[in-house]
Amino acid sequence: MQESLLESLSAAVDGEAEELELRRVLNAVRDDDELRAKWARLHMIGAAVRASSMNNALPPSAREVAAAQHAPWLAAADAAPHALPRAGSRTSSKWLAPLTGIGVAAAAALTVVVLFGSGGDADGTVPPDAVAEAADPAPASIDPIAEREPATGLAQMPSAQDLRRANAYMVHHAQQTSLTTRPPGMPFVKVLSVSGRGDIDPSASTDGNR
Amino acid sequence: MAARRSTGSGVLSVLVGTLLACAASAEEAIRTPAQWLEAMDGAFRTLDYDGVFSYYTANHRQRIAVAQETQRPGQRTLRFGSGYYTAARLATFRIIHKVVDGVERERIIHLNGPPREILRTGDLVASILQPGDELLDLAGTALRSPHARVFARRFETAGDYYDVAFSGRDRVAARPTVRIDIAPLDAHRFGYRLWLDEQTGLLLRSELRDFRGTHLEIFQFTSLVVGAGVATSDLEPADTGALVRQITEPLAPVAEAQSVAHGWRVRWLPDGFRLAEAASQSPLGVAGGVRTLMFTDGLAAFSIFIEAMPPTGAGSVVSRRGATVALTHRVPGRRGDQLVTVVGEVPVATARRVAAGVYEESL
Repeated sequence: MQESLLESLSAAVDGEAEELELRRVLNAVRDDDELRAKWARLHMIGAAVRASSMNNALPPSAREVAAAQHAPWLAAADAAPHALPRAGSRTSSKWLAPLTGIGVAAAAALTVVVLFGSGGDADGTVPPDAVAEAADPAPASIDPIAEREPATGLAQMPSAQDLRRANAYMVHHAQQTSLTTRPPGMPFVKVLSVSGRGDIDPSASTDGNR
Repeated sequence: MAARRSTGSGVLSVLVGTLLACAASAEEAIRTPAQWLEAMDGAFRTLDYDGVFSYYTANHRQRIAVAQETQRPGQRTLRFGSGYYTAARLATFRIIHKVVDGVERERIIHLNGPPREILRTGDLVASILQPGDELLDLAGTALRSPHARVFARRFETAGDYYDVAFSGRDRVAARPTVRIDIAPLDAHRFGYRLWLDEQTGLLLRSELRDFRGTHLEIFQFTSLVVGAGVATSDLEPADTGALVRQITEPLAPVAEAQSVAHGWRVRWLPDGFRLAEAASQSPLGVAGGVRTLMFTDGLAAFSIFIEAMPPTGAGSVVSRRGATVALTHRVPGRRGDQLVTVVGEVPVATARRVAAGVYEESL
């Protein structure tokens, strides 16, 4: 599956997609069963992460897609802004409100991207060790990772130690390249920017500029 | 700068404009883009400068679901762990660089968050950290020292894999600059846009972008003093009871990288990436040691870390910060499964393909 499409899909679920990107996703989702299933899963995961209801996590209907294409909601969105539960979440998507009915709202915090430093980020979308559980209402088999992550031969859930190891290697790589590349100091800057569990985020005061 | 004052007739404007254009092309003609890059390289090493710069790293919305499915009769359960985004970051640093008695000295001060500094004297690097700083801990468990400086950034070899061209002029930190675009010729590396000080060649701003044009990192000076105004006393670290930790030792003689590649190879490399360094080390807590390989195309670099699979196993990690990615993969080795971690400034797909192609010779 096309990587950029998957990224767009994820962006759409999270309310980050631009209008054109969103249309592309909606068109693709309409035509592709696999993508429809993924769409539902993304919403569901987001919902679960937030311990929210997943009842509405359904793929968009053709009607919704059609409506989106005519974009009446672009205007409606501003009139009914959707309040996301955390300040760190995206709030600016113009299309968010109209799609609320199909569960977009709950899905802002799907992903796990490991930060430099193993302990969450300034916006702390989900605490690093948080484990949310949710019963699965979807009949389809659920494997949110397999499609995204080609087989690495590794467990899907990285441990704190795994993250720590990756961070240590990032620091090492930055140190290595700082002595061998120019301009000097740039990779050192990366070393200095490391933050992690229990630490004051070195850039917390200026973080999350979106 | 007479041009700025000329607001007269159209004819005059055209004339001045033409003259300006001639002057600009004449200046650019003095140096090719490649020569500008070399000038930048030299400027950073030989000039004395003291400036403040900001460093932005993009957030990533990469979907790395970390979820596990468990099944009980009649119920399927999803477990989610470690779920958070990377946030965009903007940090600010002061850099002081001066050549003292023929030796380069450099001090980089982190102006946000916990006080941190890096001091460099020649090839000797020390980090100045506060007690309890997590970085101390992190770097302590990491590999200790670089072994050999096998490569320098070589723009001329990078030329085969990037398109380097002038892209105009601009002004950064109140200084006139020439702008140079370094566009990748394939999808395995990122693109750069550089703003070089017209007067000194110093890099005043750089942007690192992915193939979609998304900014991954931006570096920019906001103020800069060059030359005599840079005080040697400013190279001394602040005395705040901080810990000094040596992170490098004087560099060992350059070993022939290939000969110490210790039997590990990669099946696939993006075009233009060459082995720059190979080492085998034994950091604390890693049984059997860690083999490292570093590759570069002259601009971008990535490292491969190979170690025995920990007894407790390991999870799939994909971590991105700005342009840097770290991801893990399991490969078979002669002494059992190995954990491969690829870290570098390359697209995720490229790093993943590299990681999947790591193998041990004669296996």
